[in-house]
Amino acid sequence: MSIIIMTMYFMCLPEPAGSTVSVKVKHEPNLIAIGTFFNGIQLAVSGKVATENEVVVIVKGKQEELTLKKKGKALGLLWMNLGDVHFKKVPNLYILYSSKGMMELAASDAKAWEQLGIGFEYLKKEMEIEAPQAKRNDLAQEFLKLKQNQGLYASHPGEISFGQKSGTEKSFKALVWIPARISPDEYQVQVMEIHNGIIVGNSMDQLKVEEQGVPAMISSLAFNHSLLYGFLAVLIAVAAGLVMDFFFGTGKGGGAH
Amino acid sequence: MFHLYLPIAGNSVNVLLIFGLGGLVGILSGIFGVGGGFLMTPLLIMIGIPPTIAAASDSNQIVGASTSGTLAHYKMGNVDFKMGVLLLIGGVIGGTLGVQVIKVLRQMGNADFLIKITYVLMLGFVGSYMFIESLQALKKKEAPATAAPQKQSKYAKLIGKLPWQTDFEKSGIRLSILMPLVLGTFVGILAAIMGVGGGFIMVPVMVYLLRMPMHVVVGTSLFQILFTCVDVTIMQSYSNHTVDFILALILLLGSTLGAQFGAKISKKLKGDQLKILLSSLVLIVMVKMLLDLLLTPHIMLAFTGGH
Repeated sequence: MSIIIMTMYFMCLPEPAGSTVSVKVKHEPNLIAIGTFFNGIQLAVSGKVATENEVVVIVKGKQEELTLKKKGKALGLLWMNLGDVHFKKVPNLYILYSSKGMMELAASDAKAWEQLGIGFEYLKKEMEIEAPQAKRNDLAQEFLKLKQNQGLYASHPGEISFGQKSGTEKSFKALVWIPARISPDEYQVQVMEIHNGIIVGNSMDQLKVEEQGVPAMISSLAFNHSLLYGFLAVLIAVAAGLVMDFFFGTGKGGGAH
Repeated sequence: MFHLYLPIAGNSVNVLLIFGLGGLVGILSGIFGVGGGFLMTPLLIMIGIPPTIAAASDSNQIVGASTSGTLAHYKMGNVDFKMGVLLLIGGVIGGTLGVQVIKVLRQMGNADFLIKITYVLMLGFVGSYMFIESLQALKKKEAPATAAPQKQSKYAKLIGKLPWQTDFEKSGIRLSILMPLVLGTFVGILAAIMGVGGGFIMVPVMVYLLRMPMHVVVGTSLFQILFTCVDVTIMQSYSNHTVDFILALILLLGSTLGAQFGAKISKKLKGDQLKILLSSLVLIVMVKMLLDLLLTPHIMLAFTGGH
């Protein structure tokens, strides 16, 4: 059931203009396993496009709602968290890689870039912010800064490389860095083939991220048996304290000084 | 390979960095009898741990550091259990009251502002008072000792008149049991508002208001912090699922080791030297917090939660 809902969700995303064909793409790994030593991972997205075209790869997560604290000056002097700001329709992950030609397009034809419906400026336009209109742009900018600081939003222009040409096609490869902060969830890998600023090819694939092994066990214990988890955490802390005292303690207790 | 994934914090961390942070705070715990919460939590937040996870996991590691530190001081004869239990009872009552105060503040709005201001004022007052007093004490010791006995202060006369006076053998003092109960309650309220174990408030209270000798203060303070943090760890785990066990364990390994070294170092330092060092540390943290309040922040949005 959840797969059906997921597929319908991804199918409801904005469609690129004009007729598009599917881009031949594969990504590796297909499943990101968060294990004990997980510290982020490189997702290799590769495929073939027409020799004259450019490529954009976007790894993005589901849209979510967030309530954040807004900083303001109290008494004209002190910076404090004053008030909440509600953000809606913001993806929990947005990582964009593009080929060099896309950088030239962004610099020379801002309107064409805008019409592609990608990038941070597009995210700023699309997000809903419950705040006075005058402050909207600033808040959107601060939101992007916060997410970039976390590593969950990133833009890497010009970092898709092209390989050998064979006939009318050329291969491309993007090494997308997936940060350690990624949450276990389902994500979408979108690849767009661009010709003169128009999307001519599009493909969307699912990417699953899940905890495995020790992290999965601990998460399960913490959320499903939270009281037991709390007592265990305390017991282990006390035991560690006693063990450390046994091995490194001051030995026989002398008199007070 | 030096990175471990923290499942509750939802991020990976450098194990050596966390171990080092734990060790540093553990040393302070052993020397001064403070749990280190007011230092550790901001440090964890700085390296990218979400504030609520940092605070809750920090309480977990303080349990370990305080166990180790309390034992070390107990063996040196530095824990006044009688005093500690009375302070703890007061602390539990105060902590419960403090949570209600927070509720009211939240309903009024701007609870964060009041909490931060309380931090700056408390740290500034406590740190300055201790620093000045310790300097004066050190200067007096350099002058030749006088033969005249010291007059009893008005405060000492006042507390001597309170009912239910009892002897605290370990501390070598005689006090009304009302003193630790009332002061423990006051510290508990502040600790609940400020979200800390209370050591950096409790230590000056024990030294200046309960008139306990400094080295008994350290061990007894650790004893009280231990039980406060056991309570917080269980409640945070149960209510908020914010205790990251892996993070706490790495911090523990560093801090329990550090607390042992800290206890040995504190034995070599005189009471006045300890007071000057602690007051300097408190003042540095106060200045850092004040700068955070005065300087324009890098990002104007923040996640909810944290101190």
